Amino acid sequence: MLAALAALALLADDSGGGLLLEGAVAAGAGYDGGAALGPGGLGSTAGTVSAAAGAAVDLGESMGLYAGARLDGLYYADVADLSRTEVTGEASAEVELGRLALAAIPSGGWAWHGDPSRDGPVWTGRLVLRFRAAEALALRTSYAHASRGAADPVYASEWDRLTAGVELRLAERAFISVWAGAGWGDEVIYVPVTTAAAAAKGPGGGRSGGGGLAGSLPVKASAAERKAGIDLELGLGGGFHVELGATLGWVESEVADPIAVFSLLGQTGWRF
Amino acid sequence: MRIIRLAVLTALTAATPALGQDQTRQQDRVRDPSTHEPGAVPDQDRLRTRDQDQLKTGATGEATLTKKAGATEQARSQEPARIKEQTRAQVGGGQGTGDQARARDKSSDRAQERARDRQRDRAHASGQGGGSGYRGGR
Repeated sequence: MLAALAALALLADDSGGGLLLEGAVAAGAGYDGGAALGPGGLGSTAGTVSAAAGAAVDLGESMGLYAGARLDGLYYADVADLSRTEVTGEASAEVELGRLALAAIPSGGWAWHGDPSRDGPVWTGRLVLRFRAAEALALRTSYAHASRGAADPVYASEWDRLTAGVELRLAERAFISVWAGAGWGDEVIYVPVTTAAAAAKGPGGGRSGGGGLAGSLPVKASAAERKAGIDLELGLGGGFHVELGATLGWVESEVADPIAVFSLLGQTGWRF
Repeated sequence: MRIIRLAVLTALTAATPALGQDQTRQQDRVRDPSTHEPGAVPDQDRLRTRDQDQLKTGATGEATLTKKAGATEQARSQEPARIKEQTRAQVGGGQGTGDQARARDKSSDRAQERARDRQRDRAHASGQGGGSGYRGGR
């Protein structure tokens, strides 16, 4: 990370541009109805914190680079095993061609969970295409691949995800985003112990969960997720803002009927 | 009443050129030593001339002062705007004209917009398509 920042500083010096420090901190709370997947879903109230800081440099009018660090915390009141704290290094290279912008965003780090058998490295690669149709309207579509390692292989996963969204600026500092996404990959489904024996003979198996997951067994299975959401952001001035996000979707897998997932989370933050 | 007023006005109108001619004649006499009347003291004339010149200079000086005072008034009225521009320019990283400051403001707005776009881009592909800071999910 330090090497990346030093490289950015040198590039900034060469290009005559300035090194811009940027970042954000936020905290929020809400309810995540898809905290864990099982018959009927396993929801929990949740608290979130996030902090990111990094340096960006504009290489001329059409290209920008960013490197920074990020902390994400997601804490469940009812399924503490799944609570996690992630620390990642993140970079992005962005090219703008008129109204079109393409960003490549690799990141990597480590995740700590309430249940240490889930701890492991996290790697993601993301590509985002942004089209600014009008000054107040941005269309985004993205592809992401995420790889999660874990001490217990049941909890390790590979995911691919496609997302498309529209962001509209309603007023000077008020935004609304509507998006939809589809993902494919490994999912952990918590099945009742009575059916766990049969499931364990399938694609994966595991031990009985703890906390809110007691009485169920985690089973690793191929899954597909469809999800859509709406996000409102209201700037309060000085970089402060409040956000409210809602998502709704379902997950299909080989080991369970489609499971509905939803979440409603609010947060407040400061961006600089 | 009207007749009296007319008479006074006519008398004044008639008298004014005569007074003017008299004055001009006197001034000419003062300026031109050759028109000195016999017995006149040239030194006194010179003194008078100098006095008049000083008076003229004084008048010019007063005009200059008035002009300066006007400029000061104008500058004073422009002061708040100038200070505002200068402050904005200094905040922007140096002194500059209003146009330069505005250009810097615009550039700063653009930089903030780009930073926000980048942050939303990074969040967009993380599982929460809305781009909020929250990166939840399993």
